[in-house]
Amino acid sequence: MKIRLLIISVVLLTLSSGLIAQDNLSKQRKAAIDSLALEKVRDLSKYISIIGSKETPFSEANRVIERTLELFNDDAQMGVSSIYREEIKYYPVRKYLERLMALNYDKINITWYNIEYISDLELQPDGRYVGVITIYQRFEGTTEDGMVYKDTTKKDITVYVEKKQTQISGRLIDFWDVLLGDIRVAETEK
Amino acid sequence: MIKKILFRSVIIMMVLSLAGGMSACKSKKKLAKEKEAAEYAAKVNTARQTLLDILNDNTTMSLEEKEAAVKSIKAMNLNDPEIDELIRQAEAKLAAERAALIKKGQEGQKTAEEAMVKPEAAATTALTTYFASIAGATSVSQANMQIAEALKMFSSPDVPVLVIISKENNVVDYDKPTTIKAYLNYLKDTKNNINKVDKITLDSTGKIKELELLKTY
Repeated sequence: MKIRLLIISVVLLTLSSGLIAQDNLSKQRKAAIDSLALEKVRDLSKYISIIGSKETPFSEANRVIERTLELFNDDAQMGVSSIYREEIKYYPVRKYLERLMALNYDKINITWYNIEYISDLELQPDGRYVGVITIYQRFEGTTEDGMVYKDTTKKDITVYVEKKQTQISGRLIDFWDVLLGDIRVAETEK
Repeated sequence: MIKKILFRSVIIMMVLSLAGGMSACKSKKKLAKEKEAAEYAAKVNTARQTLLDILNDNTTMSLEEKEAAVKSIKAMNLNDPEIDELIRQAEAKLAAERAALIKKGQEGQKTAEEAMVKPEAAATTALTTYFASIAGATSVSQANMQIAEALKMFSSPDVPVLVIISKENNVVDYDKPTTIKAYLNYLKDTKNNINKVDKITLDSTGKIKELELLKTY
């Protein structure tokens, strides 16, 4: 019983010291991580625009899909809505991107704006920082016969930031890995 | 009578002989003095000529040889005011030449050091230009051409690229490491050219084998 208590205490102490170490980030370092996560979301907006654009060559779109997937957790899902239905469908990110590339429009224009935190990155018990960034997406699709579909969707993106280590040219490098989780639809309007 | 005459002759001859001997002794001393004076004069002349040649740059001697010559003349202690003055002038001239030589050596070293640094500086400039042109390309094909050109500066397309997001005291925070090919494509896709070259490491052939960028939000 005593041994078990001792082990639990050691584990808790180790975990808490690890958390303290990560939580001891100065304002400057925390701000740099906040900005890094925002930048990844902005990158995602560019990638989605490229994949959706009918002007993007097929090979380029496929390459960008692979780059986009590197931004996400493996099991992340993307919410998709329409002004014509209430239901919000969720797809694995790869499937969403492939569907986006194959959308039946002659011309597609997707822009993201008002990209900002609605929930700051906070240190979690597992050592990761988790926050939520909200974006507004303006979608415009024009069919061959000139019909235009437009909507604006507010989406919330869960962001995970974790400190990891890798070896580059024989030296150990500590880096911040930013991964995006589910993208949930908050509201959709014309 | 004859004996008397002989005795007197002998005495006279002895006196004459003595007188002659004394005269010869006197002449030898004089000669020695004259020889000494001549030797001194010769030394002074040679020293003067050597010093004048040094002062007028009329010699093929190296700086070290000139310094040794002046030192050797000084060691002779000729006690000639003219030579002493020439020695003073020559020493001043050679000191100035030595200082100039040291300065030149330092400048040469500096130039050599600059030449060592230059490849990294040139690579930084070229890379910065490529980053801007890739991010600013108006078409995919134009950007791809620039990427292909830029990749020639690297030892391989998989050269690691580290992006520093924060530097505080000795703590450096990095973004997730990437490769140069992926980074150049990133610039093409996002047009987000906000990272400046911070450090370049070249291989023995002068190609970039590691790149560190610094994020400038």
